[in-house]
Amino acid sequence: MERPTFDVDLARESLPALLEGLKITVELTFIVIAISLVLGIFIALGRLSKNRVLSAVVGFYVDFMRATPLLLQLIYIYFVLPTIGIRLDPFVAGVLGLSLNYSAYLSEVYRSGIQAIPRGQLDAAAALGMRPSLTMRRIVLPQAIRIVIPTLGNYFVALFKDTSLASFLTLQELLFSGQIIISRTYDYFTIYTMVLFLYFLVGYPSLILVRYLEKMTKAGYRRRQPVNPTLPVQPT
Amino acid sequence: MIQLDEIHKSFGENHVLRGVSLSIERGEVVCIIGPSGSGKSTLLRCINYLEEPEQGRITIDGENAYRDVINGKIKNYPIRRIAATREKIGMVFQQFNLFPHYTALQNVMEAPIQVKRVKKADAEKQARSLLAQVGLAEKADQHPAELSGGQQQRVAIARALAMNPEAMLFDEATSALDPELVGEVLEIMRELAVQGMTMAVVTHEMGFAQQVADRVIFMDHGVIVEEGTPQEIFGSPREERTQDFLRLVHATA
Repeated sequence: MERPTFDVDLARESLPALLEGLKITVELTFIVIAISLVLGIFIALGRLSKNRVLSAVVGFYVDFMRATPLLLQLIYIYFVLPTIGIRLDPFVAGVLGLSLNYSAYLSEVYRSGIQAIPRGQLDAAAALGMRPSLTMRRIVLPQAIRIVIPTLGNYFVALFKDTSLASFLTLQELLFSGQIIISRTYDYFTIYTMVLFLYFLVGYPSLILVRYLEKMTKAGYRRRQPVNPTLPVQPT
Repeated sequence: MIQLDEIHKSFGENHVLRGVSLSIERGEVVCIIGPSGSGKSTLLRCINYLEEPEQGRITIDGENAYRDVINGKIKNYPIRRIAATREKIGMVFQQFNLFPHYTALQNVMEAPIQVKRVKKADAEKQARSLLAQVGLAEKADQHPAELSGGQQQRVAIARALAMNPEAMLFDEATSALDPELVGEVLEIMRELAVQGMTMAVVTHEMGFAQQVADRVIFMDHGVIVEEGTPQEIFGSPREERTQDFLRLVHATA
């Protein structure tokens, strides 16, 4: 077998198409992030609702999304829904499938954050005459979201990679853009190496960013700069 | 003003309140003392319905405060109405329960703005004056994590006062404080009492109860064992359980 060689000319020639694919990948990621960040909160609230029917229905939805493969969910939306007359273009199908799946996962993240808020916070808000919806919006969620920011960040890096599954829907994101070139040139080594590198190029800084967020949120609620730095520190 | 009748409350098998009745007059300072587990905190939490008793009546100014009995079944008022009643009763907690994501000032302004719809500028003015009143004017922009326990509890008192409550509940307000910080919080409470605030105070500070209370209530095992003026309770307690408790407290104090 021949030793594989990196074909620099092919690489240069393929780069624009691959970057175009990377653009779709990033777009897909951000759209799905935006949708599932919001949808996830509502799913979490539904699951925590005192209305038993709502809580059970939402709970089943979350479990269903978590108990079945994401790839199959995407395939189902793109290839099976047309048989009942719902035809979606690959990008929309990708957004829909990934959003439904990720908002289910994120709702569990939010839920854990909401449940981590001490009972005393709810007592204090209630004693001040705040109603549960107001307490949730002004007291619980702001604290809960802060707690789960690092976890959310990790999910977004995972999502960035999972968008590659949309290649099965013929969506020309990064992976499928590479595969199209390979089907023409049969140069697996050069193209997949480039694809791998391009994923890493975006994924790695994202990981660093998540790590930074982790540090930031662990710092607690304080002003960045004390007005009076000579203030004695309270021993704990 | 506040009246509790035959209150029963259980947590699972644990029958914490066994038919407690208590009334608090406007302007009165009532201190509730007793060993831990006697049900005094639970009783206090029934007053603003943070605990829902299984049996009993809670009335404020002669009206059912949180629920009615319809055809023999207890029916809670809508949460809107319960919340409106709670507005009138401030509460201070053992663990302060300040909102950690807000500054001291924001903690005090939050409920007036969100619940009472007070204009932001007015709420801030009031909050700053309340913080000054508890001696924390210069801490307005600090977050709770930057404050000592005593300072946090003073902010919590200011936060409760910001709703202009008709009565204040204190649930072991100084129990979580380092000993040297207890005094500053008791001082604020004493001032409030002098100003005529209606207060129900669950406390282990016998000195405070003796000096500030109009009436002292001794609870044990979910019932009120004895009540009377501070002179009666601390000077010549009638019940053996009261005597034992006070002897124990004095031995460790």
